[in-house]
Amino acid sequence: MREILYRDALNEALHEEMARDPAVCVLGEDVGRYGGVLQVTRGLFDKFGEKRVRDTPISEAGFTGIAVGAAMTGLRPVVEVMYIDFSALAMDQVVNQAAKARYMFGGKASAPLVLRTQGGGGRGNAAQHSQSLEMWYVHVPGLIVVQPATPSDAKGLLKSAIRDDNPVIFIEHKLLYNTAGPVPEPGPDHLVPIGVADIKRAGGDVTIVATSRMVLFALQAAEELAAEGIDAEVIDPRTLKPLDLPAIIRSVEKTGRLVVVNEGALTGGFTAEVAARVQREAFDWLDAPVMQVAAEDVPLPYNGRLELAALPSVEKIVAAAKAALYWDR
Amino acid sequence: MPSDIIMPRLGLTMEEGTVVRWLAREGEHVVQGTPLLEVETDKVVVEVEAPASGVLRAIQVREGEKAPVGAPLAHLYAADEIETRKKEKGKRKIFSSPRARRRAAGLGLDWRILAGSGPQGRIIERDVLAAASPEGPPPPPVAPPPQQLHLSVEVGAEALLGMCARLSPSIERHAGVQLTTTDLLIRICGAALARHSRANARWEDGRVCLQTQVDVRLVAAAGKAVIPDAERPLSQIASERAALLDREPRKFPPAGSNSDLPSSLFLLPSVPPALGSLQSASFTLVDLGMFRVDRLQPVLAPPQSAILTVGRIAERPAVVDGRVAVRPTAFLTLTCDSRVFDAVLAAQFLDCIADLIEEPYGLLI
Repeated sequence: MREILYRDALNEALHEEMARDPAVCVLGEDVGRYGGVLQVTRGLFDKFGEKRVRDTPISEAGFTGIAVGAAMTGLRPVVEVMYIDFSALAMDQVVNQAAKARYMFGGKASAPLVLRTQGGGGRGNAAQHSQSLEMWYVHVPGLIVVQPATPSDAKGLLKSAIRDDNPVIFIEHKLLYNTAGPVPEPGPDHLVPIGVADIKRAGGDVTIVATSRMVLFALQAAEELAAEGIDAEVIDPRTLKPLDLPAIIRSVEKTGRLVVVNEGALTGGFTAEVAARVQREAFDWLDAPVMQVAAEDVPLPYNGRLELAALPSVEKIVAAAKAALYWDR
Repeated sequence: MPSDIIMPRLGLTMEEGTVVRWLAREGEHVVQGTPLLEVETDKVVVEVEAPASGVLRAIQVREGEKAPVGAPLAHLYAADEIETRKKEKGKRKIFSSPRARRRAAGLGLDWRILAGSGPQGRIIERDVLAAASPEGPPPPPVAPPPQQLHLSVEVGAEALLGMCARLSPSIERHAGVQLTTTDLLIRICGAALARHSRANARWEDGRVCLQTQVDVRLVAAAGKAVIPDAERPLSQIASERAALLDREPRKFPPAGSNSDLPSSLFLLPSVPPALGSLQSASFTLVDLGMFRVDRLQPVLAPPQSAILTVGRIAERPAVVDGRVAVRPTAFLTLTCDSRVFDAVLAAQFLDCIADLIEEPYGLLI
């Protein structure tokens, strides 16, 4: 299979969906003539024109609000928020409007928009441009939250997100755009269903659930663990909400040990959520406490060494897996 | 360990048998040689005798069920085995993982009598599997021991001896104790730990724990003691050292006496240091100045992360200003836990100690 970049996989998905459905439109800062600061919307302006690909002023609340209105009146907008940190400015539009529309109008209205944004640290972008805020959106009923880790999942999930009738928060990672991976040739639709986890590496000794860029870390940790005779299974939920809990439970029933990895801050984070669910649903299958690997509870430092120290790392995942196997004793 | 009752081979061609009837109930005490169960092959029904005396537990094959030859049917526990284990376990809470209890229930085992290999004696799945397996447990994976770094250097000791001689009379006048080079070494190690605060750390609960106070655990001919706050004035360190070591019984004869040294030298790892004696110190100084020992590669005393031995001070040839001269020197050997120290930190730390020994006025800086 051909290998393409994460960035290009997203670009392909947008081209294909805009060609397939005239209701799909794109808006955001610099997404048109410039092709997006991340070049994900490259070529859309020339192909589909300025009515369907709109450059907006720097006003997240404004253009996200336009997208919610457009979605409720029949379009399928894909709005780009340059950094997830800036999505705080559009919170009211997303949380109080988009997420509630379908419920509060008794199903007579819906807001089928996709809010594309990117988060994560590790690039020295400092505290206001490095956050992992996915759990803000996971906490809001009415939203779907998706975080692809590979080019194939990025393309397949973006296409599914555009076709979904619910508002979808589609969170990319700034350090994944230049990663390559196999993606099927364009032609028949490559769709990855929302709400279905993927086993990125099968194993029998310990389950590692990881999201977004942490999937790559977990896979590397699994290789290091394999060198020491530990066979780790790596599961990428891909969709944070709705979470494919059965896939995680099935794995825990096999291994009895669970490490959850997420780049967001530890407190009130994804790792706690998964740990709570698993202990309730699979208590009798656990042979060790669930281990959490997450960012320290600090604004991410600009200093490169401090930033790395605050973020999850391959080393921390390896240590957590060993702790779950009582290897640290 | 409990003994297994297995499906016996009752004929050359027999591959499986049916348990017709158990003649004892679970929990019942049976005597070796008495009939325990009836087994039916395609030809006959045979009574099987108890292979040992004990309490029948964990019947895995019920009446009317089949099992292949050699399969475990139940366990026999010696009566006192159960009693002692229950008594031992009755004294404290038994920790167990949910998975282990689930597995034990499936195997019909009483998990409360098992030995746990997890933290706080937690019974985990592998302990249950080990108890149920006739071959005994597969060896549990064992974490490799911590890697240790060993560094050594020879240092000149004139300045140290000189300072000791200069300060000794006034300290004796002030504090009423004899100043020794050991006291200077304690003070120097204290200064080095304070200057490299990253080195003043213990490895506890799987992580580096930086210490707020500089304590030095001393091992010397006169005994062992933790000298708290090793950054204090020398007179206080000397008094503390004298008070602590004079109070402790002298397990070893002072150097120079004719009596034999005990065969178990106190640094052998087979004599682990009592936890109390480690207190909060992250670092041990082993001063072998009284013995005819040049170098000793010390053994770490976890959770401490570093240990330094100083051999005897003796006159040795040394290159000074391009010429070979005779001067007093000593060998320092530092052993560090590689989880706390990297090679650079270990080298900087040892370098700092060596500098202060060769130029103890550096303590004033």
